[in-house]
Amino acid sequence: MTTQHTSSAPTPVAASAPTARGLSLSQRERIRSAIRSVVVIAIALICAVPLYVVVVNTFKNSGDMAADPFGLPTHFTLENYTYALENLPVVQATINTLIVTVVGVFFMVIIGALAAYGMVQKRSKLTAGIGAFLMLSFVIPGQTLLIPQYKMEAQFGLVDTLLGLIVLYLGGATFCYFLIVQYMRGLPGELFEAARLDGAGPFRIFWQIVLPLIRPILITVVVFETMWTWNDFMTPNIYISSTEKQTLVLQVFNAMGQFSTNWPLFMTITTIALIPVFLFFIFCQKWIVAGLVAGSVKG
Amino acid sequence: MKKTWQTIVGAGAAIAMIASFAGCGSSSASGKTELTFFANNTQDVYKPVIDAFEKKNPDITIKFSTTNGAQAGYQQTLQTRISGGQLADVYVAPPEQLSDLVKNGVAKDLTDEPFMSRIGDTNKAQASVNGKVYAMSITAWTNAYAYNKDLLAKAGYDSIPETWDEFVDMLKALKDAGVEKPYLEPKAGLGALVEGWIGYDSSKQSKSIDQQIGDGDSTFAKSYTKYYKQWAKLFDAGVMGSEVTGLADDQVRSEFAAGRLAVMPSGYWDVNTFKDAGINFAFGRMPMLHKGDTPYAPGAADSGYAINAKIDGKKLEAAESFLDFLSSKEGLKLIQDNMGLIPSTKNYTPDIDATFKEPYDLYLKTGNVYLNTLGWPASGRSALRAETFAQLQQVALGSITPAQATANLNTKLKTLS
Amino acid sequence: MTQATTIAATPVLAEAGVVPARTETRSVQDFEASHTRDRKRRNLMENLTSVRFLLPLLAVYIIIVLIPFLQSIVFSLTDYDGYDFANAKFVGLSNYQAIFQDQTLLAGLGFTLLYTVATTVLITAIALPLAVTLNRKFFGRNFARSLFFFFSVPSMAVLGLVWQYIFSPLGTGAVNTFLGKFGVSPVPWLSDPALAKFCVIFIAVWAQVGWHATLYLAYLQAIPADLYEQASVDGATRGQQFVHITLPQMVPAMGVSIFMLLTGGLKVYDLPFTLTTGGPGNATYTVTQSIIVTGIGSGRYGVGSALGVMFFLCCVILVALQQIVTSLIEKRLS
Repeated sequence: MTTQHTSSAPTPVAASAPTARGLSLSQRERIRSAIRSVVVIAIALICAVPLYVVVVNTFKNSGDMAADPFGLPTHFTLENYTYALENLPVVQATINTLIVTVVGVFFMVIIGALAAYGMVQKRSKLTAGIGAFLMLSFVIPGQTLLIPQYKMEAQFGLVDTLLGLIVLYLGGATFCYFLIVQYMRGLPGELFEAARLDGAGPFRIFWQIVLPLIRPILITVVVFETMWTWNDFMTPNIYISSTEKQTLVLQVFNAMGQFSTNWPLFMTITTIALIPVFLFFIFCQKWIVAGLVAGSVKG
Repeated sequence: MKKTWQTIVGAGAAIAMIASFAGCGSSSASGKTELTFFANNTQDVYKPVIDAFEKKNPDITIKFSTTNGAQAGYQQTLQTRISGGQLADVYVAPPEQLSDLVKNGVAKDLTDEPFMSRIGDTNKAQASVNGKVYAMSITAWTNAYAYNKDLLAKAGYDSIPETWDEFVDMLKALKDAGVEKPYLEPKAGLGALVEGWIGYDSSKQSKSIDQQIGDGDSTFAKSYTKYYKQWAKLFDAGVMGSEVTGLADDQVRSEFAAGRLAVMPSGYWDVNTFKDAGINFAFGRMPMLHKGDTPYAPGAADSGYAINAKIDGKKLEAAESFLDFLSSKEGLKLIQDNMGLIPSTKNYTPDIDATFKEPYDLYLKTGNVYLNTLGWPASGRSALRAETFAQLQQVALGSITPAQATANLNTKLKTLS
Repeated sequence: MTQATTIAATPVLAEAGVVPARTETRSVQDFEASHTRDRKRRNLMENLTSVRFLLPLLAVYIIIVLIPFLQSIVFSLTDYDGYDFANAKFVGLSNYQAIFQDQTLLAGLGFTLLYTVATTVLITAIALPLAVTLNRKFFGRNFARSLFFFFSVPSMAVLGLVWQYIFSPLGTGAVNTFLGKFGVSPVPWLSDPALAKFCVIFIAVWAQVGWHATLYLAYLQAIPADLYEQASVDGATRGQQFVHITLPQMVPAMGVSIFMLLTGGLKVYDLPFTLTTGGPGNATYTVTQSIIVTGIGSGRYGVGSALGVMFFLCCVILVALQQIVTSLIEKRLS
């Protein structure tokens, strides 16, 4: 039984087919996969043109970029990078961003996953009511919350602290909850029952059974929230005033003058800020799709 | 597999714990007076100014903070911080917000401060509420037409003509000479030059035209229609097309920097970009409606520096000496060199880049600049200004007439007051 | 839980090493039996445990979202200017009256709805097949996945600028330069009301498709391989498998994705604002832009809050409708 499931989920045909027809099938599959490669990668590259524009302009000065935003630099320069790395508190800002992102995302996802588990454990009028109540947060326009939230944080002395940022980011837990609960509903409730009959308490079930089971969505949620938290400009822009508490994305301030913006520098800072999350995503995306089946064979 | 999972979660929790402690660090206090300063420009341009001040005043340290350079972002952040009682000791006070700041008692009255004697009347007037000055404005800005000398030469011109009709003729001649784009305005700056015309006409009256509109003595339909009609000549003559409704500042600047565009509305802040681009350019006048009209251009005093009304004692003294330093010759020179702003005080004559000499002499030396929003009700200014551009975009698209545009502005003004 | 999913899903769990595969049938039986025995006691216990797990989220939600929102409802009944609330006066419902007099708001409402519907439909139609493709094996798959997800990660401030250059109505814009090679004269992309709407929607689809494809990708992992195996034994083609297995299994995922798209679409602000500032004219003006420009940004926080509250009510109705429709579809399919 186990061997049957080792192939990745949606492409079981080729792998599990009888060997007699296997050759022609796998050949056909190979051609198909080659066509897929060409088409998908071509589309991806076309879609990535704006990203190319961002990166290529980091090697130009303002005049060069203004004269030709798409072309390769006429006078290749690393000036923007040396300026950014020498003049901006990149190390301090990276540490701050790392703290806020790691702590924020960790609690967001745990709070969201706990709630989702509680929700699927029992379907009753009470939980349905709470579910609907939680959904309201998706339709509240964030702009109207700005001043009330700021006043609240000011009252508790959380303005201009990293802790204050983390507290606000916890609001994202509703988003995590929503994604996770929908995913959990697709899983069989019998499983939790079985574990409970084995004598496991609800927290043990959550830790040992539920979390590993929902790994694809959990990683997806972690990736989304990490990108969002890492990149968020609005919240630290309003809440952080001390230079030593600025996050990485806030360093783009250094490119924005009162009347005009130094776009090449802006793009350079953006690029520097994005490299870590890009690596993080490449690392994580394997996990999203490594799938339950493949993972279990190794484990 | 379970183990891997638990290790990851465990590691996450551990990092979270360590990090939350690290995040709670507190700032240390020393014997020095710490002055917080909230500005709308970047840290690196303010650094030399602050360093020089701290060197002169070793017992004061300045804690600098800034936000999005664009005006709207700064205003929103300033407002939010005030609502939470987190206003800095010294801050930049945008003219749009000044009356609100005064109403809420967060701007100190600076009228009788000794350093205010250096400030010119135009700058003082813009920072005043009910005859009292609440912000120290030391620099000013003006629009000017940037022109490409090589392209203008193709049609036999070497500068911007004096009147609007001559200007439109020049653009036609340029187009005939093969310059595909003789003139472009950015979508959020359409019709900016009419403010110069309104400025001149206002100078002949006791109350500015926009003040009359704001006070309800006149309407946009009555006052603005004739100016907008003149502006619309650009489309009638075919020298500017409806594509301007989709062009941001940066794209117009790009066309100019690439040497394809002959004339664009611009300002002192573009000097370096154009120099980097290596084109043969200069800044010139913005044409007036009739020959002999005194030249006026869109422009104003820059946002001034205000002192938080809630500070006193040593902090207040420190704040006052900081403003005193900013308006001193040394401070002004540093501000000009690092921020590219043009000082407009009585005690200092700035060196101006040669390419900008004409507009500086015409507008800033004389104070002949005009900004229509200053006459409008404070709480509706930014929304109304956005609306003028939205209306002029529709004129550019040919979907409404200038008269309809001004009528719509009347309606908008009513909903805002 | 339907029979099909129960049978299908259990082997996956068995694979995961969670339950020994052979005990599968027995544990289900046990479950049925015990369920009848002490249902009542369980009910209460389960409700209590459920709520205990929900408490942290409820606390976070009430403190960070709900209380501030209730405060802004209070603001909407005053002339609060956004500075010191002590100076604000109670003005009743007059802020709500002011909203309906504003012409631009109506224009904003129209485009917001168009944007929401168009992006929801297009992104769903593209992201699902994209996810299925990205889930198959091919050379450079990881690279493609990363790109699709990543190209919209830089801030809108930068991307808006880049897209302005791409869709510039001038002959020198990127798209127009490309078309010019085929003799096409410059297209007024961002300077024509209809085309500008198209551009905003196009870019929104571009920016979010990778995100939603990644979400679907996660859900695809939960479809048990048996279903496909059974189908291929029965001789079903790829297309038939997609329609009869993948699509029905993806209904919950589509519910999630569409919900995010709807709520995100209604609240859209960043993209149209950076790209077109709502123009040309009012062609791409959005409701949220109205909240910001005529309300909060103009020091009229009361009006801005009133706009926000009205907007909230409209969204609740729309989203409730969507939820009802989704659950109806889910019921019919299962």
